[in-house]
Amino acid sequence: MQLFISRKTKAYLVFFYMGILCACNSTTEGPAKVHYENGSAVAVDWPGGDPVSAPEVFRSGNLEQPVLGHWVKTNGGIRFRPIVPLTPGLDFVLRTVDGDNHAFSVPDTADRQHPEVLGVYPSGDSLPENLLKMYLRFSVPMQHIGNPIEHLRVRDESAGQEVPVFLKLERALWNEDQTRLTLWLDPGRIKTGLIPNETSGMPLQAGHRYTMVIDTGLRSSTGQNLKSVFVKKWFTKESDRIKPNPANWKIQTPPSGSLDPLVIDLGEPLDVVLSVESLQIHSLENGPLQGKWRIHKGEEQVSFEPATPWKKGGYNIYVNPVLEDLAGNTPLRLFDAPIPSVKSTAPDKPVHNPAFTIR
Amino acid sequence: MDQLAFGPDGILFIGDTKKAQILALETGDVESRDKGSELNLSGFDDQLAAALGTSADNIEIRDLAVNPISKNIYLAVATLDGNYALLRLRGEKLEPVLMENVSYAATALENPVAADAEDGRGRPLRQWSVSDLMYHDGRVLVSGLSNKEFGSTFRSIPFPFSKEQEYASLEIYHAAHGQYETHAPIKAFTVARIGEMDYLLASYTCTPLVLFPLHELKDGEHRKGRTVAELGSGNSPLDMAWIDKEGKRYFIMSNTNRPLMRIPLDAIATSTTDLTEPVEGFAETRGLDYVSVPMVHVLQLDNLDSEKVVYLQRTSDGDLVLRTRPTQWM
Repeated sequence: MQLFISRKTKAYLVFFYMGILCACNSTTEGPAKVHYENGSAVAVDWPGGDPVSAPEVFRSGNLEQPVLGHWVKTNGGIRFRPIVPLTPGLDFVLRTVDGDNHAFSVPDTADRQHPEVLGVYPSGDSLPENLLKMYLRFSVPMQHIGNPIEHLRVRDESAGQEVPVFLKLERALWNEDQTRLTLWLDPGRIKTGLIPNETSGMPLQAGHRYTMVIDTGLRSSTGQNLKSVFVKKWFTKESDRIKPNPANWKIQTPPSGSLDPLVIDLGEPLDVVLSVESLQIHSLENGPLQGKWRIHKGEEQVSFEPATPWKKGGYNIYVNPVLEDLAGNTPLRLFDAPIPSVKSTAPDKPVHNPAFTIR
Repeated sequence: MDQLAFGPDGILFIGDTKKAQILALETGDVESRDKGSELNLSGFDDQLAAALGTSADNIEIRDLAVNPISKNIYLAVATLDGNYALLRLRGEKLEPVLMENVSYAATALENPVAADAEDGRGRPLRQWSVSDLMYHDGRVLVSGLSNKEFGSTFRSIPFPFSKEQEYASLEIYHAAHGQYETHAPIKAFTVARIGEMDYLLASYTCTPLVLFPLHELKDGEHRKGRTVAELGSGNSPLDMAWIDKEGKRYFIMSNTNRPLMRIPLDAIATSTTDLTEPVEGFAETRGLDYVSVPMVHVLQLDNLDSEKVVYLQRTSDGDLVLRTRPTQWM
């Protein structure tokens, strides 16, 4: 026998069933709608109501602490703006003044990239014992909170043990867009005679081999874990106690009329960031040049491509004395050296600015 | 928002690394109270996260400061994705401090102008991270560290803000024959009043507790400080406060790797220590004696009122607590 249930009856049955289901829970899906701006859940819209006797919004699971924000009137209802955007992937409850709870969630957007390590600098595999800092470059903006050092391990393979080499600061040193991290090796242990140096020795030991591992616990600013573990291996050689000297750089000049790069061989790897930011090309006639700097060959070579074709004539490469080598030595001073406590009467010896000619 | 410090009349100074500026916010929170509320809140990170519509692993408390007038507690909280919230705890109730509703002034944390700027040399852009902030005697004192060159800056900015900022390059002779100076960044500092003079009491990442007479910090000059205590390596100072206990004034410092330390002010004042010699053997600390107060993992600390401090602490079972404690128990 065929049981004929009319569509209307089916509809009633469904509603009846749902009614029972909903009566068992104190929360129903309601008309709360999440509003996005630039991909962030910046507001929640509610039909009707007024800002004065407005609902409260909670994380489901904590119905005691409301989400902080304020309500404003909109066409057709009211809008809640939390003081920071709501986090995707979480569930919330909107409770009206009558005590009715309405659940809503902020969906996780599927389309989020897992960050990758683009490079660790210095990129070479032979580093000085008095290495001062390392930079880590990432493919997307990274976590604004927490200490990335917790996701790095450095192992002294020669001694067969993990070693703490980086200075743990209260707040990590990121660049403006959160894609480059600066790590300092503990300078207290690098500077000779300081107590940490006397008691703990230098962070790196010459003659030893090291492995650094960045684990996938490191997160992007949108909460995605690092795509894969990153490993860097290196050998530690003796300390670098020689100031970088621009007078020793080898310059390859391009022909006039071209846009070919000027290439400078530095003779040693320099700080990947400061090496280009500290240099500026000036023409003797026309002042500073616009163009693009690039770094090559394990930070031992830099190049400059001009925005406009090279003109014949004389040029200077102005070197800002903040330029550092891998040990923090600048053209003017060694990292680990006294600063005169008495101002000397002789003027500071200026940094040599290499000159070149375009023919 | 990295650092908070109160000035006079409910003005809150905010050190903002991302925007490279110091803000002065008129909170209008000037209803005077003698005593702050006693607090013993557990799961405080969960509570803050709920207030910000997120989960505890997505937030970080950057700083805590008590308004000395109202005794309300202010918190700077950062989120994983780079947002910030400035919150006020009134008793046990969390409220937002909305920046749009209050008037404020801002001063940019400029790099000190290089002496050779006129030559047109390129000046690398640095990101200065504000490591500590304090208002003293008409000036906002700021310490910062760079993400590029290894160096530190200490500035003294007159308030109300004008174009004037004084930069002092504070360098110290480390404890070995006075031959070398460091460019170590100041992690935390406070001002000590000793006799008729104010001193900067600064703690560094590699050798802590150095005294500099404040009036000697002149623009652009290197200053030698007196190292009064070497509190051991592998440790970083977090917060400093002054408490009055049984009629005596004490200096309190919280640390990353050591319990809270307490040193009487008169010990600092009368100390003739000037550590210029290396530590013998492997002794870990030298100089001023300190008492370890049995409180570890204190992440934030400030005076609440004349008799209590308020602190944020990570307990051994991973709970984040916000508590008040009478100074007599410190």
